Amino acid sequence: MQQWRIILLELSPLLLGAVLSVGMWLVARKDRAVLSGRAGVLAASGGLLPVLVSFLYSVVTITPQLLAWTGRDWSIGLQEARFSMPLGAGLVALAILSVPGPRRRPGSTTAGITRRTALTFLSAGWTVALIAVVGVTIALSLAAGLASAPDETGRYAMFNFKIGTMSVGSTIYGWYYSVPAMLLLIILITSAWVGLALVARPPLSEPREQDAAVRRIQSRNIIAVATGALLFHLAAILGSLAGTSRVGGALPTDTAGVINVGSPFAALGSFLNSSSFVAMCLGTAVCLSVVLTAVPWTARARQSTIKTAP
Amino acid sequence: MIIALSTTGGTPAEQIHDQIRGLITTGALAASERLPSVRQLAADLGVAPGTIAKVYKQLEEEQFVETRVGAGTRVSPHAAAVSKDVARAARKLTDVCKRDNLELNEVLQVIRATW
Repeated sequence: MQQWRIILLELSPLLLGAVLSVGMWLVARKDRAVLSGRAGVLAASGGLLPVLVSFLYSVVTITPQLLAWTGRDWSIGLQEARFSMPLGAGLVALAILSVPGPRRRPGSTTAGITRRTALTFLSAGWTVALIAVVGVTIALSLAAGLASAPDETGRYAMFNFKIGTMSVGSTIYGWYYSVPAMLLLIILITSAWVGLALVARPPLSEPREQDAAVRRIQSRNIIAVATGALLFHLAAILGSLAGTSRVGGALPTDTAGVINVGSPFAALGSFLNSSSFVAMCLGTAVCLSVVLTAVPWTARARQSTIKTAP
Repeated sequence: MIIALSTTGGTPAEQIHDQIRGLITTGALAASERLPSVRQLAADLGVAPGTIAKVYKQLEEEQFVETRVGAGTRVSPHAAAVSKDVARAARKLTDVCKRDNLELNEVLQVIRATW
């Protein structure tokens, strides 16, 4: 019973994110077009994947006995994959969303005179959101990396500070974790860019307005999944830093007894913890909003969904 | 703004040239507005990239467009009938009017009344 409570607590940002996403969909659904056919299946799969990976990771971390049948200890592996896994899931999701749609019939003799670039079908709001999340992620990675020190094996994953003559240490999101994660981040952004270009590049099919509407949704979905995966990654960083902030030590003194000393950023612990919760909640909401672009809202909408399958 | 090729209107290069020139002189394409890349327009129309490159070169010689390395091909500021702002506002007005199911003469009445 106790374990179920822990699981529910751990999954609460995912559940809250799902509620938020469905709520926003219910409010704005009438103004939105819907993907169906193959495009709908791809959107649903691509949007669900990062959330599913995060969900399974949370469940397996809390209940490691679920993996006992394998006969191996997964705890270290799971800990190591904590930061890179959301980005890996995001990359697979982007690959799914970037699968090219059916090409326009050959022999078409009309063309628009407007340039189509990767950003043509994308709203500025999503670009700003992605840049903001990337900025915060890089800033935190650099700050934690600069604060890290090598451990006994030489890995930059330790945070040490002095209490009088003693030294207290804890693990931190140092270069050991952040360098591979930042490389994955660069690959993720590049993949999103390639995905956007693949959506924009082919000639527009007739009716052009309908094809442009499909591409606007597909471009939005690509950038949403990239942002969602980065938010999951950011949630892992913030959660890890919240854990590091809780490290402390006790210093015995002759005059004042035992003095408890916390880390230099102990005061930020609660803020980091709640920021991690919010980031995971938003990541879930953003990814599930991609799934919901494949859900028709009324019988009439079901009949007039945007079909891209032949 | 669409370019359409027909089987009876001359060679593809002539048709593309005439239509782009028409879009510039009537103000549908504004000053300094960027044209699609040679590759994009060629793929969209199903013609060889060389055909589009030839058209752009001819338009450049006639000073309808300017081509700069890294900046692509843009409508020449001297050739365009309207500025980019006017063209953008006109397109937005057209979109809104179409959404409200207005006829062209009704829109022109509104413009005359607000002039």
